[in-house]
Amino acid sequence: MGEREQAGQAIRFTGRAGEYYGIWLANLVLSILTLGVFSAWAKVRRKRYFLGHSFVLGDRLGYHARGGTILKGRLAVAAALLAYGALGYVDPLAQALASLAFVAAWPWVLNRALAFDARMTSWRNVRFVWHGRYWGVMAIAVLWPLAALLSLGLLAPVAGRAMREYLANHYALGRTRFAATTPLAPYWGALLVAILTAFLFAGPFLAVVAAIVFALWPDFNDLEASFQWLESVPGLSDAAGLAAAFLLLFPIWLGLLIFRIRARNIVVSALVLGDAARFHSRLQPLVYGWILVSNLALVLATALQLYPWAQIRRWRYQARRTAVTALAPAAIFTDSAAAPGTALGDAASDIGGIEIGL
Amino acid sequence: MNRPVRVAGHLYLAGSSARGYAVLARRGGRFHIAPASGGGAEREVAIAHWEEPLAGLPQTLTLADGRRFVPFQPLPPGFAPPRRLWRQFAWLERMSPVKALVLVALLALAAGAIRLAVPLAADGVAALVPAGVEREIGRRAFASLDRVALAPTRIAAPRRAQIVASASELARRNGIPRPAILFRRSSWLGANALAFPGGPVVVTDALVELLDRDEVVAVIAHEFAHIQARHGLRQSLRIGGLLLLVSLVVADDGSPIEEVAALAASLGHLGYSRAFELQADAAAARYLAAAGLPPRALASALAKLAADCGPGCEDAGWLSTHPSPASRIEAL
Repeated sequence: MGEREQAGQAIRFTGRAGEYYGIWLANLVLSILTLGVFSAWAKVRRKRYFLGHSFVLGDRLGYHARGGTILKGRLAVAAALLAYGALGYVDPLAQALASLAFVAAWPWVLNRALAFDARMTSWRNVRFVWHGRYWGVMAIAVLWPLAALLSLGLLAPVAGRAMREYLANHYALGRTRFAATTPLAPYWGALLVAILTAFLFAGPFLAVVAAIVFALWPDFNDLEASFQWLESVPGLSDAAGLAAAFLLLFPIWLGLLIFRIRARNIVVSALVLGDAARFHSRLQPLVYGWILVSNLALVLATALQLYPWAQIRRWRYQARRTAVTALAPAAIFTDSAAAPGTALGDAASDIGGIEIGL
Repeated sequence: MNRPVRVAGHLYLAGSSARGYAVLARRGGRFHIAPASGGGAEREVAIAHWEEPLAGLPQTLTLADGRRFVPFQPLPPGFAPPRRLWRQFAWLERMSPVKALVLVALLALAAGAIRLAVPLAADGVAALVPAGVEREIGRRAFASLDRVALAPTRIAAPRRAQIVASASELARRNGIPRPAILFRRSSWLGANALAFPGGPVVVTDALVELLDRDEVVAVIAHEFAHIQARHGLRQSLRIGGLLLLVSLVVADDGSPIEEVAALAASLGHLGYSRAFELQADAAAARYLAAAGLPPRALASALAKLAADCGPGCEDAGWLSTHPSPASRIEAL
């Protein structure tokens, strides 16, 4: 794979697990000792480490947010949620209205979060800019995901393309805009591959379950006795239920992952930065899935001690399979005059656990 | 002391990717910058902002005129102005096996302490919640359940009055307030009784039909104990505390690790739930004894409920909210 000539120059990642382990452990200990207050600074240090060790066309990415700004945003969001909760005891009708206000405010908050995060990220001394609008973010964060869900995934190619193109076309590096236009057909291909692979994996998994059941089931003709046997071993029926749930969920998770990764490859491979650079993405869904699954197993088996290593491993793979071609190596980028945002949106998207990225 | 220390790097124009190679020199407390080649003159510069140091990364310096200097390598020690906080961070983050061992031991200790501290902290917060607010939570939760899942009772009024009178007597003798006792029919709750924070206690028709009067009162006493000890409120606060800690540890990782951690947290809360059930059983036994009712009534109620429910209900591993009836009867 390495021998094959690759278009562009891969993103080089120089982070080391041993070094990051120290940062992670210090962050964790300080966050717990300060009851979470330090986690705002911890986030800054973590992002600075990963971006600062990522070289795009020979230059590091930078992250410049201040912990204090993020903490203020988090406090504002916590206060809003607290006020919302308290409103319920004062007047249920007011709370119902507030719920509507929250839904309406969500795209606005998310838009601010994207703007803040872009503004705090830099390359070659120029900050990134997010140009998204309220209704555009409403579409990609609420309406399209809803449409994909309600159509049972049938609209996923249309929704996935619309969401990713919106993101790609509303970022800029200073005054230079990113852009991506993609045909629809490859997204249908991605969906097809995702569904087929999910079924392919579901088959053997169900066979394994059946084999275990056949091997262990004491008596097939006497269901009552079998159930009693299952109950007689403490914790066994719980473990069996949990295992069955995982075996059923795994192919679904895998299908979603495959679609997501293939869609990323499609849109990033069509991405250009003005006339200056174009991008390539060659993530292999099954390799990436294997990294996630084996990471999880190792992190659990080592009582979290390999967690920093797992993060580094995942990031390194993504970097290695993402490349950039400089179309105009001498291009000069300049900052736009947009005001740096507050961290309000950033904190809200943290709490919601939402992360939008290409 | 006045021997200059030099570092090489990129010098950027303000807000632009236009840059050149440059050398930054420190002489005592003063800084001078010069183009790396072409023989440009060295000029003194004022540095407006130093980025915090972070393991392995060069610190970006912002000059007073808005230009930025990005060194190729991390700055040599003593180059940046001395800041104690920076040094302490650097020390903490630079790992040695011994330090890692100490910190991990500290974390393991913290994990053990969390198992104890989360309940304590949650109970502390619960103590701050006024009884009125708790009653309101319970009233609302009951109202919504009543709308969707409960139907009017078919138990004869005299039978209900007997039970309520007996439960009231038990509350009076124990000196505890008596929450409202409501009877409802429900197809999916089966023989069951529920306590809402601050009241009411709901008893299903199936329970009244299955048990004799003393046994029904014993189950109600168990629900009284939940309300008296504010188990519902404390339980929700404990879950909240555990989830908060989980989010601190795994932050926004975006991989399945986050889901698994949340799962582990909910297993932790199930452990708390089982502990509450045993506490409520013990308190109910005390209430019954003080009211002159047979303390065995609760154990026999549990036995009848278990028999009614069938073998599936015997199951009580680490995924259950309640301990197994057998172990509860044993404890009584």
